[in-house]
Amino acid sequence: MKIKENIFGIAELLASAVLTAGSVSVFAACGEHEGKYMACHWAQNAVTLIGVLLIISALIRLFTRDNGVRAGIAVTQFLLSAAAALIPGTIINLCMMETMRCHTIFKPAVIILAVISAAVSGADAFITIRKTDRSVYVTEKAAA
Amino acid sequence: MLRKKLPLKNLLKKPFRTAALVLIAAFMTAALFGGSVASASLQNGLESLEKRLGADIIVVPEEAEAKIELENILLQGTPAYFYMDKSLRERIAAVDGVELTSAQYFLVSANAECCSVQVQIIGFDEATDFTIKPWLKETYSDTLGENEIIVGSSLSTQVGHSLKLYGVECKAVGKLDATGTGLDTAIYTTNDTVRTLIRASQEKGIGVLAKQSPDDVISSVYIKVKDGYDIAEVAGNINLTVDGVEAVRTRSMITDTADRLSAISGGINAARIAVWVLAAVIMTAAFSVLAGVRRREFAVLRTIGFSRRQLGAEVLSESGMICAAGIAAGLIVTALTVFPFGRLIEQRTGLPYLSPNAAASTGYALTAAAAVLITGALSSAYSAYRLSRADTGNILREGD
Repeated sequence: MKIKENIFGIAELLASAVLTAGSVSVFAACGEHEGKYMACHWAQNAVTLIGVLLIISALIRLFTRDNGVRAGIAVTQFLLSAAAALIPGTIINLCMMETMRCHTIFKPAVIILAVISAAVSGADAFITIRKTDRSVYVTEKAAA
Repeated sequence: MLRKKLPLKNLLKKPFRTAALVLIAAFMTAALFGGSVASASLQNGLESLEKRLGADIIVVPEEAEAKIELENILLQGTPAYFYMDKSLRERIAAVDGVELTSAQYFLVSANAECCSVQVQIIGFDEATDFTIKPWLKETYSDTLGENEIIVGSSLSTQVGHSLKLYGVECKAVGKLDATGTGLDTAIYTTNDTVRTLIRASQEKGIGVLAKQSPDDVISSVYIKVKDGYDIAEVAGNINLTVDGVEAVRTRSMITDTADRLSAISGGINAARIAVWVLAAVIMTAAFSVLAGVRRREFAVLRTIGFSRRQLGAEVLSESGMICAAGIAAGLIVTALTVFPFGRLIEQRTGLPYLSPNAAASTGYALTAAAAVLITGALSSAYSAYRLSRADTGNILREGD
């Protein structure tokens, strides 16, 4: 595996790994209270799930040589990352008080990491699609 | 065509050297922009607190904790309650120099249904209030009805939505502007609604407030002093003539905060200037060393027809591109750190923190960008001059 060729794949894997691990540790949402979980806990679970999907797709992208498949994975990762950024507070409500952990740490950290992941996979998708188009053009020209 | 593309090609050909210089420019931008935003946020928070308190003196029960708890409520939003006899308000109002008095009643909710935190509930008298009403008018002009509340900006409850407190559905009819202080996390309502909440708490078996109705006790009295009277003297008279209370000048409370804020702002400014100077020195040294290393490269360019002016422009273009990339990276990283984590900074410093608005933030970003661009241009100007004036023949012969 050449590092230069897979620089985007490695960046995507790192971003999604930090998002997944962080969402259950460093920037986890508010914890259990008197045996009850608050709304933000479900937002955390959703982010973790998306993070795991992003890791799996990043791994597949790393070990795939076909540019078309890579481009498809990059587009999926872009969409998943955008969805992750929208989960805290937009798709799933967080706690009532904006001074709580889910607002002060979890939400900004998830948004920042998801935006980074979306930016990397967006750039990856753009470059890989262009590469694929060019190789198709070259093949067609050679065949003609 | 070649001349236009050359600076970028040169930079891309040496990725590590370019990355190191971009990193320095990014670091300088982050320090300048982040420092400006942090200082402005602390200053905004202090000004907001000063405006928002509105009273000259706040009277709290004499117990040692009361003043500290009041500061915690105001600055950090830590819910607390303390009480004194309601009749004290009339005795305070009778003190010479007191123009207006308004009592407030502090109640701490049991954990609200949605989250594991207690909420500060402040009951106030609409007839005498002069500290909350001016702010309520901005969002709500009518009188508060039964079980109607006004929420601070940090509560995610929207106007028109309800919030359950002790099982009582309270309708939010107004929301206050952000102040960057503990006042943002409070709920404001009338004493009638407070009584309803206390009854509900009794029904739920939460007995701590059972005998402390707003009919009998109050938590604090906000005082406006008559014009021409010395505020410190009036506060001293209250402490002398009314037993069991402590009159605190709001200015002294703000002064303590202002002192801490001033120390932090001073530190931020010193760090900002130190990073700027250090980065400028490093950039100047880096460009100067590079000018020495790249003498032959520039001599070759000179022999293929580049004028002295074009060589100077080449160096300045490279420096401009490096600074532009550094500025973009520095601004993005700082914006992603300082703005989303503003609330966390407020909590950790215990100081009022109110981020500047978009226009002011853009101004700080542009100032930082201009400062980095100018520093980069000045750092590379001498190298550009040296390279453009070098004797091409001598340089090329040195290598033989």
